[in-house]
Amino acid sequence: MLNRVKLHFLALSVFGESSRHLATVLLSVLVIFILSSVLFISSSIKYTVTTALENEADMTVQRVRGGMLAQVPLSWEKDIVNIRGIDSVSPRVWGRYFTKPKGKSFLIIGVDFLDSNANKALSKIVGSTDLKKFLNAHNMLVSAKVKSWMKKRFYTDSYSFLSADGEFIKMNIYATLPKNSDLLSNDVIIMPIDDARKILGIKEGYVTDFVLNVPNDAQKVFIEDKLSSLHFDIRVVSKKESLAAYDESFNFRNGFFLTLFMILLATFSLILYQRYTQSYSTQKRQIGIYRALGWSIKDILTLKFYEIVVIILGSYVTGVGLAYIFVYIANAPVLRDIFLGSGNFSPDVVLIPVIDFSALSSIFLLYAIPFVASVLIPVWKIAVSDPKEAML
Amino acid sequence: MSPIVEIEGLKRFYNTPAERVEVLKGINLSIERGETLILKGVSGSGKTTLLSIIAGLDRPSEGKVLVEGEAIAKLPDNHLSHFRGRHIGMVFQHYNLIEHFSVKDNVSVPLVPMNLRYQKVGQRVEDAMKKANISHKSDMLAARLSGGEKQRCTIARAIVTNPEIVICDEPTANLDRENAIKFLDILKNLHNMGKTIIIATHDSIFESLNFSHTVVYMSDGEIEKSESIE
Repeated sequence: MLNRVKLHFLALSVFGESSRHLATVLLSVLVIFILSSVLFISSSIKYTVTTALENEADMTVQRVRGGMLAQVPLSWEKDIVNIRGIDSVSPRVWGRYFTKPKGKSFLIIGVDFLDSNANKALSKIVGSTDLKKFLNAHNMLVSAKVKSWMKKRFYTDSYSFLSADGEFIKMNIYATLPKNSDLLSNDVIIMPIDDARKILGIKEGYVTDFVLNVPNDAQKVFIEDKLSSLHFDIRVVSKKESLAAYDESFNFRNGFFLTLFMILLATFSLILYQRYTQSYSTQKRQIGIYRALGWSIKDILTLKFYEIVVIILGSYVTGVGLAYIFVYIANAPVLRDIFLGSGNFSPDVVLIPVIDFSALSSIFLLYAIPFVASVLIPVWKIAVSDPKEAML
Repeated sequence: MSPIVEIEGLKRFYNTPAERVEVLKGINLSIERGETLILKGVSGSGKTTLLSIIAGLDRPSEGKVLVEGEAIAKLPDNHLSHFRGRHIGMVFQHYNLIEHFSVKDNVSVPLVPMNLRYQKVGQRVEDAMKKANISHKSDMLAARLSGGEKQRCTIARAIVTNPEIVICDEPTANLDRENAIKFLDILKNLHNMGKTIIIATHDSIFESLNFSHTVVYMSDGEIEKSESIE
């Protein structure tokens, strides 16, 4: 237990030798800052993706021919609807449209705006769009990133798509998709189903896939089996699988960063160890004085331990605090691009503050244990040596 | 009354790969409570090693060392440290102050492990600094003190725990004559307070000590002779 006298000594040890501790504190803050920033970004992205996918349909039905995705006949809808427990089946027409010249691609999604199920799902995205007015002409909704890309190429009000038949189809830019969906819809264009069909070359009576919901969770596995047995070339993808695919893509980056930071931590521990070993003679003398004046090994280790705890906690709180400001207030410049990529249309996402306490505790432990070891081992080595020698 | 320090057949040797170096070769010594003992001898005669063993900073290879009736060589580290803190005050040749601490913080170092109340520590530090005539520099950093002031700070630190024994290793080696004489005055005060003082020195200034003391002459790890001076 620390009494007031010991607390006074602790303050003397920490702040009296601030120049000796300064480099250690700065290095620690940097390591914690980098680790926490990565953690905050990945937690926030994961949360945003998971929340966005929560609104997605429970299952997607596709067709695979010769191992490739193929167009799905609309007639399958009847077979799907007949399965008990399935709710709200919606056909979708979508596909990736590669621009000329090369470099960018849009995800065109054709929506049957007269279909109530599709409307329900879309209402969250299109919000206050006046559908009647929207359907009167060849209109489309584009993401902010797509709009800005088009504007740069002087397509301020409309864009001409080269259809599968080789003719140009001019679509008017009606409105921009809301920003909060930008993480998954940064390259999306939403348009009426017939226009999408023409551009993407999807035949009449065919769609890209069907999406459906299963209200009863307990029936999901059973319905997936039933759907899979409907046709030899059917492919069913559950929401869980979609989530796992997104997870994997971010975990790949997390794994990369984790490896990098394990190396960083190891280097940090080595630097600390070296630093405290280099200050060996100063420490040796001071510890020798303490020992000669009646301090036991335990007294010295206790003081040094508390000294390290103050440094560790100070650096940790500062590092995490700076990371919070960097990620959630400054929106993580540079680091965000590494995570989200900037190849096609990099998402212009605002990172939502999400704090993963278990990961923060792991960082604390990963940082604190090598720190304590790197400092206490040299101190212990001195403390157990002959105090007379220590003062020479 | 039994002696405060009793040494019988004390040997200290170090084994090197080539040979066994004997630093102390069978010392027998008895120091009475309140006595001032001056160990004289050339460098390498074993004075500092003998002091270190009495202070519990070194352990004997052979023989018996009793301090306050306690066989200190057999005490485990915790007990030995606390014993040293409570019963022995140390004055070192090179002062051994913590340079970035103030005088009062340096003086309070031996009191930290004793779990005393803050006010009590402050009071004891104040008293010790007064006795060593260094109170006027209490807030000054040790690094900024002169040699004489450093020595007085070391003395205050040595007596802050009110120990029975004060051990001084070449205390005047780094002092000019004026400060060395002042040191003798402080020694006299400590003697008058009833402290047992053990000094290792080869400085002739101690011949001018004007109170009763014993001089022990050491040579090559052995006691050559001793004489009491009244």
